[in-house]
Amino acid sequence: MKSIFTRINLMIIALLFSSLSVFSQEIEITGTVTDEYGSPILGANITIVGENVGSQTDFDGNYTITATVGQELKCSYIGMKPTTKKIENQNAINFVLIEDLLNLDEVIITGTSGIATKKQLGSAISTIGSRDLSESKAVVSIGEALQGQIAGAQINRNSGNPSGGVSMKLRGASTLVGSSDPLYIIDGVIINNNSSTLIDLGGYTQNRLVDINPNDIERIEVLKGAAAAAIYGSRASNGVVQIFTKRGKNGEPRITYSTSFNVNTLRKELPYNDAQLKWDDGVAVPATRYNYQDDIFETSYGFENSINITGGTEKTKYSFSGSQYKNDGIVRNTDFDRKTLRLRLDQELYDWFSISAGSFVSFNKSNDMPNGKNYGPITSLIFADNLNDTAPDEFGNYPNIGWMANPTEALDRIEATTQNFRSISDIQLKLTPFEGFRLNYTFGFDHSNSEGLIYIPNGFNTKINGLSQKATINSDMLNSDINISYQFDITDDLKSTTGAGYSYQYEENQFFGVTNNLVSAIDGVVVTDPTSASSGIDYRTQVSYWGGYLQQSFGYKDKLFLTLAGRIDGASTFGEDERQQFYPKVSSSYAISDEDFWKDALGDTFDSFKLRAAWGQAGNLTALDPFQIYTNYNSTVYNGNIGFTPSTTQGNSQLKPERQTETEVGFDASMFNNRLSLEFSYYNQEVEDLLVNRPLSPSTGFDQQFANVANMTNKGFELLIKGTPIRNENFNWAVTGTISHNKNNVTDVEGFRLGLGMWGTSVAQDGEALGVFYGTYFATDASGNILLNTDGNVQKALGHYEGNTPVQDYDVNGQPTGTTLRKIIGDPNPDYTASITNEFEYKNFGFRFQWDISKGNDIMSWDKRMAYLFAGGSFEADELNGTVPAGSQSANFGIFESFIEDGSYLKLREVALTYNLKVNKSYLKNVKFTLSGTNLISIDNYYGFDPEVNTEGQTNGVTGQDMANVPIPAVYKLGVIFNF
Amino acid sequence: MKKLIKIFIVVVGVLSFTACETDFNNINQPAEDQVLTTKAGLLGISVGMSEDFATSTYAPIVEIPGLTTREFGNTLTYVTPGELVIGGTLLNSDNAGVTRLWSRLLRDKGMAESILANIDNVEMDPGTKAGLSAYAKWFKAMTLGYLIQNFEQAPIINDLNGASVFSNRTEVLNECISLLESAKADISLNPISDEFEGYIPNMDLENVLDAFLARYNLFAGNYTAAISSANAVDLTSMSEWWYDGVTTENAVWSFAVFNDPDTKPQDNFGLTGSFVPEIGDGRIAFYLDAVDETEVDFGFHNVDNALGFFSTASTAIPIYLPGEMLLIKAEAYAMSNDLPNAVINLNLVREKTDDVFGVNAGLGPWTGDVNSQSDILDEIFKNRSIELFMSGMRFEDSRRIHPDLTIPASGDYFIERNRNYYPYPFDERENNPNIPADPSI
Repeated sequence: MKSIFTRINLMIIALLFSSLSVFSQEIEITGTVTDEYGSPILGANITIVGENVGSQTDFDGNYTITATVGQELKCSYIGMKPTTKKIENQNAINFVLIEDLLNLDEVIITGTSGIATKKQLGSAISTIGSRDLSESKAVVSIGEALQGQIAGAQINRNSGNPSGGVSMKLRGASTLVGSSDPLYIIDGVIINNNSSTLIDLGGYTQNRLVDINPNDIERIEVLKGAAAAAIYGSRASNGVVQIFTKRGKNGEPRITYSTSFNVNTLRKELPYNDAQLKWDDGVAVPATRYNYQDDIFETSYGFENSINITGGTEKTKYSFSGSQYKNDGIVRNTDFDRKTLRLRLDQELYDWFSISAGSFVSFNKSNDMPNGKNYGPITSLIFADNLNDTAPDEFGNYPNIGWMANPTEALDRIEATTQNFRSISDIQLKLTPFEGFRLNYTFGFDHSNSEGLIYIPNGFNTKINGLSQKATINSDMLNSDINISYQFDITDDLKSTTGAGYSYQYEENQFFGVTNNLVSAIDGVVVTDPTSASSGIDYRTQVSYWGGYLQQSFGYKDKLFLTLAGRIDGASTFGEDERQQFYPKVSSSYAISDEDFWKDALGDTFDSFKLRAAWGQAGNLTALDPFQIYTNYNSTVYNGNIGFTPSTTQGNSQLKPERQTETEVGFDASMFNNRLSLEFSYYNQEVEDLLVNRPLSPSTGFDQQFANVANMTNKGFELLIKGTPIRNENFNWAVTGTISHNKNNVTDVEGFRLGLGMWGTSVAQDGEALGVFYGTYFATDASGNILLNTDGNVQKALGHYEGNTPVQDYDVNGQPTGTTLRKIIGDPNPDYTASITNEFEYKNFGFRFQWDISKGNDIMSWDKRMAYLFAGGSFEADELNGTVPAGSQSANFGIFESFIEDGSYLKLREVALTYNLKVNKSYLKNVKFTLSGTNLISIDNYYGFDPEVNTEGQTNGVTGQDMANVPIPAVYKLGVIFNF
Repeated sequence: MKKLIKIFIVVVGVLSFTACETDFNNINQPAEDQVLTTKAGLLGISVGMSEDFATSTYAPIVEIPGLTTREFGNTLTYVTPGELVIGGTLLNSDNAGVTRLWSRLLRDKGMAESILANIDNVEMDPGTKAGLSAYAKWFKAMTLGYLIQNFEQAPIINDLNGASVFSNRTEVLNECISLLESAKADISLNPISDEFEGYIPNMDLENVLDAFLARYNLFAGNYTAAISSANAVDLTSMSEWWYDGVTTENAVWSFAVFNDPDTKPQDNFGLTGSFVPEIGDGRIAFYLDAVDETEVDFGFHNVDNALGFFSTASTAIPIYLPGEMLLIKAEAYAMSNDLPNAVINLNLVREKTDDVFGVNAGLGPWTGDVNSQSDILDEIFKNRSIELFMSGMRFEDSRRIHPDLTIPASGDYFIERNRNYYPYPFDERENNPNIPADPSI
């Protein structure tokens, strides 16, 4: 009986609920969204306030949405001020959006628990829309696309190889042994951006961000420091770059197809010995000299196709994209080929529960050449004499040009490939079971499999037995994040948001490789024969990171905000007692322009003005490789017995995470009717307990040990200026400028100085910036002028040390005497970096150019040093031609200061012309043509190919080193984008 | 209610995904506490240190003093060998070659010390324990010996905390001798088990102990003990470092023969004047393949290709040569003023045609002044330089037999040796508070 009543009760309740929804008046609303000049806005978001329902405008700015009378519709678009309108009984609601350069009402997802607007945040955030990323740019990766876009970021392309290699530092380096690159998150999934060395390409490595297709991106949010991100915790101590990919919207399917073709050329040749003379017993005699660069470089071509289809209904939305990218390098026989697929589905299950799932697959392959510190063609270019014709003879035999590889033979016969398979998947749940409460759960899985191969055939002139090597890395990362937030009003003026969350991340890597130093004498048998392998590697690591936080925010009258947060983070790589640490944060923002006194006094000039301040701590959990807390023993075999030898690194069970404390203050302002906006931040970062791989006295039996024995600071400012000097119906001129200054200082270095790489020339020294150059320098007289020897050549400074300070000594003739002295001779860190982008739009034409500036950074040009030493270099020509004293070359060669170069540049990063052809047919909406040039002009005084490179790839402490690097090409690109 | 149940299910589902592991063992490599507390671990270290010494440490033992004493010429303008070839005060304390010699020997010594420190806590058969103990003691004595052949002082015990205390040459040589005596005692009490013999198939440990006792007693000036130890060595016994040519490669071949190297032996073993080998000396063809090549820098010496114990990746290198025993006796007799016996032993070397390793001079008896101690010692130096070519001995020999050589501080490309001792490496100086002052030259 009871059960029947219960059932009836339930039925009544169900009826009641369903009738409720019948009574509330649902209507279909249509409308148009335009800018202030009446031009339709495509892709503007229409959402019902407080609901999980949204739509988007089509090509003509039209939208349709079903809503209930009494609800509010909000219309937003990047770069425009959002507008909200109440639904009364009308069926048409049009919106006119006004440009808002500052965008304080923009919704920010990264680093907030739940949703916040930019106005509420106490720390600086940069957002970049898809338009600024990829439309006309000839870039292979997201990192490259972001160059010049973010104030406070130093983004460097480290190689001109077609597969890139890009490093990003937000507000300076934050670690010595780990990576200073930010945490990359794609749609909530923490992704792998490792720069692993598979096979030795002389320092060059790809970074795994290259797997991602920049065309898939809708928007990027960048958080810059420790103070910003309670929710990502310590993995975010270098900042966070959160990438949002394109999502489906309610309405007709929207298809975008873009295709492009590009041409790459060598922008500048390296000076070489073109004297057509050689030494014969001290006499210059005629000789034929070759330009090996003609053998190495060529004009190369590439293309890209990409398609994106989005659409959906109110409850189900989808986005699908696919792309194909192929680009040949300017170094002969190098290329990069990438294919990607991406799918995202959003499904609303109930009005309080929605689910989203995404899948991404990338397959790519590159053909590379070993260069840099290795034995490839460009290495030969700087090391070899250029007296030989490198072409093979009629029997196909390549001439031996001495101890360096014949560049033509290297290009023709070395096969070095890297192949990557990448898949990123995620599932996300979003629950809003009652007013003010949100629960988000994300499970993400990132798998990558990379395989490096190198094959040098038997009989290769400078590696006579050949080399065959295969190395693989299998990397799996998963993250499982739960975040909840509860928002309620304490009083009408005081709002509270409480957030809490927990995250667990697990990472597993497997390295496997085989090397064969004695390869088959039959050409074409390239596979490494495991039965005759000379060495191999099998190494597996597991790491986990975990952390939880509690965050409380208060908002007073929507103008004063305060956030307090605490977080506990841990990582399995640290010592048992030290691995779990507590990190507090506090931040505040104040929209002072909302106050009456401000409005009265300055309201005519300032549209808005916001002050912000933040303080926070974070640990760096990723600096350490696994198992450094132990002294590990390597296995070895001798005379058929298994043996153990201790690692040269002594274990340290006391290792703890580096701790970063950051304070930042700044303001966001917009002026003159939103014609000018400024975003300024000053920051001060202090990193304590810096992990250092310190050298040990060899009498310990070990070479080094990781220990927390240094500190580091970063102080600087960043400024973003946006302006629209001219804006009318037909013509728009927009200017965006960024400028960033960072002063890095390493302190309390145990042992005063640590070598970081490039044979100890990049160092960390007490009281200096990270990665300063250290080496021998020119002897000078008492008044500081260069002291020449009796032959009229420069010479090394000699003398003695007082403590750590070198002091020059002179003999009776006033010439240097004593031991060879070394000092800090250069600094690769720029005084400032800046970028200026001008964009002009006239009717359907667009014109854009971007200049990037780096000022005051030094480069150690090993290319120049080798030109002092080897006969193929330009300085040999000077000596042969008699324009410099004999012996000048070798005099300079021994002095490291002689090849410190000013790496400042003013670079035309991009110049682009676009034309938008409006078709407005049912089958085709518009076609956009783009013609662009990238890296066409660099104004610099640099000796080598290009001041923007780094031989050691993405290595953190070693920057500004240039040795046989592949130069960054100049690229011309023609693209067409169809919107269906 | 339904909604609550659904929420509950979702939350539980989510939490089950979030279960976390925070401790991971290193499955790639054993850690210290696993190695030093087990029999397999300690035996494994003895294998590991042998492999490390034979394939890695042996290279700087030969190369570094070889550059200082003209055994090698260097054909390229690299800084490291360049500083060694000129020497004097131009040799900096951060020279990578000297650092390599220092740190690899100390690393190997540390491995031997870790065996000796832990062997008493691990159960094993007495014959295995005695063998392992004797082997580790010899190994420690040998690494200490190579250190004191190149540096003025050396730490007898490695300090894991970085403050090793240095001992002078006499103390170090006495330690070497007492380690070797103690090793002999170990295996006379408990003969080496078959199990441990399986770990050292490449050597006859009893003979090796006597041979090294002879060597260090000579260095220490204990001439009677040196002669009796040398007499105890069976000259037909062969102890060698073995290489399979694939996973382990001859350490000297790797830097002096393979792949058109920049370091090569000099013509005439780098000897000049009265020390130039006699025509017909069979050891020339044994060690050197004369080629017409002159190095391009650093003194323009003529260089040859190396043969002998270095011709292929798998050629074995003797741990000591029987000829050294005869020359030890010759020198000990000469230093004890027993010149006739000195000349007898010297002639045994000069006239040798049946050396087990094939190092046969095949010359006639010495025709010099048999009554001149210094002439005899010079002839011993010449024969040691040839007989023991490229074995890391000449620096020690030159300093011991020609102690009064004046070495210019400004360096010299041609002098018999351009330093007396090496400066202590920079990393040691920077990190060890107990490091002594560098030698003046």
